[in-house]
Order: sequence, then structure tokens, then C-alpha cells
Amino acid sequence: MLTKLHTNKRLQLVLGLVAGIAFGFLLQKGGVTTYDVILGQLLLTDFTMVKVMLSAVVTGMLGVYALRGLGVARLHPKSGSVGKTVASPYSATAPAQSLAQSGRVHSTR
Amino acid sequence: MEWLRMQQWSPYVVGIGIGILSWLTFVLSDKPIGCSTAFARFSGMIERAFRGNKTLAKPYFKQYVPALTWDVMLVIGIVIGSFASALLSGQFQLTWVPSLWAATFGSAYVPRLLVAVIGGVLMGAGARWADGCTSGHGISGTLQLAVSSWLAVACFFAGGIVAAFVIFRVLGA
Repeated sequence: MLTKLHTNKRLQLVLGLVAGIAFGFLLQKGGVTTYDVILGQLLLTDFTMVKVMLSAVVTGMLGVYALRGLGVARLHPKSGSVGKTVASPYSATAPAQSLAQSGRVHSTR
Repeated sequence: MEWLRMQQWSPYVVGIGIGILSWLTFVLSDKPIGCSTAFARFSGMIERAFRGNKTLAKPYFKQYVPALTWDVMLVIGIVIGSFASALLSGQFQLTWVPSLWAATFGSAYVPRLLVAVIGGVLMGAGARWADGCTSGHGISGTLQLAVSSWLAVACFFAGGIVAAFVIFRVLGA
């Protein structure tokens, strides 16, 4: 139903730019564009980055699954494997090891 | 509009904002927010400037065509948006050496620059191998409950924490 919108290339470029501007604005306001904040997270002294990420994930999860239920959004999970996702790049092409696609998450709804 | 000029918003408000933004990109563009694909495309554009259209024949660049696409515009937008935010709050400044680095390793900019470039290369290669970065896997993938993304983000943090502790607490001690 939204295919017309999704295939409008010029409009999609504008939407991408607008989404990027909003995303960049939020990241900067959240402080996660700052070196000291990122390093503070990795040195476990400043948990701002995890707070931003987890509240984004929880909010996004609820909405995206609801929208999927309404039939207006599709999921796009990425394939992965222990070799590809955890350590070595050499097994990156083995589709049989795909974790994300093993479930039913890839249905087009 | 005083809130636009604030130095920092609550991380929870920012996170909720990013979550809502991802609802919009899923519905309006059928795309999860992610950044590393754009960098692959940028590299293709650079290679094309030197090698011409031979670049486009590579299988990798057939899959990630070096063209102006939604994800490239997203990354351009991120630069504009974060610049606008920093400008509005009066935080914008050009800095060679961040304060945390300077406090540990001194304020010489050559070592800092060298480490930043090496780190950037490793991060770029890693994100492409894993098929996603802190946004593509870390936020968009995990919110879809993709197993690959939860695994990737756990590894990002494990690797990042170990590297940060080695650099700042072992080498910098």
C-alpha cells in the first residue's frame, strides 16, 4: 500500500536527508557525538550511550512491531553467523549459517 | 524554542526520539536507520573517480551501487543535523585532541590523529564484515529482535570495552 511512496526515488532522497538531520540532531543533543561520552561508556564511567541506545530500542521495538501488525511496516533483519558477526570475515558468505533468517521474521508483512 | 539551544537533553528523551524516528523510516521509506552501507557507497564513489566505470563491475559494488541513495542522504543529514545542534547550543568547536585523550597521552596531535585513523579503518572494516554498525545493528537490528544484531552489539561492547581499557588503563596508566 505504501509501495508508491517507497519507489518514489526523489522523495526518498529527501526523506533520507530529513531523517538524517533529525537523527544527527538527536545524537548531538544526547551527547553521543562526543568523544569523552563514548569513551566514558567503554570505560564504564558514563552510561549515557547505553541509556540512549536502550530507550531507542525499546521505543522502536514497540512501534515497529505494532506497525508490522497493522501491515504498514516490514522487518529487515540482517543475516549473521558466528564467523561473520563475532570474529572472522572469512565465513561471511555462508548463507546456510544465517541466524536472523532461520526464524519466521523474514515474512514480508 | 529554548530547548533547541540546550546543551544536552535527557538520554531517555533522545532515545525515545530515535525510536519514534525509526517508526517513521520503517513506514515512510521501508528502511531501518543504518550508516555503514553509505560508507561502502562513498568508497565506491572514490574508487570510481580513479578507476572509472570498471569499479561498477565489481560484484561488491553491484550489490552496493555507489550512487546517491536513501542511506547516503541519511549520513549527509546526520552531519547537517548534528552540526546544527552543536551550533544552536554553542558547543561547536574544532578540536584536534579531546580532553580525555589529552589528560592521558598529552596534547600532541600527531599520535591522536594516527590512532583515530587506525581506529576508523578498523571500525569501518568491522562494521562492513558484520553487515552493520552501532546504528544498523546496535539500534535498528536489535529493535527488530534480530539474533545477528544482538550478537553483534554484544561483541561491539565486548571489543570496545577491552580496547578502551587496554588503551587508557594499561597503556595510559
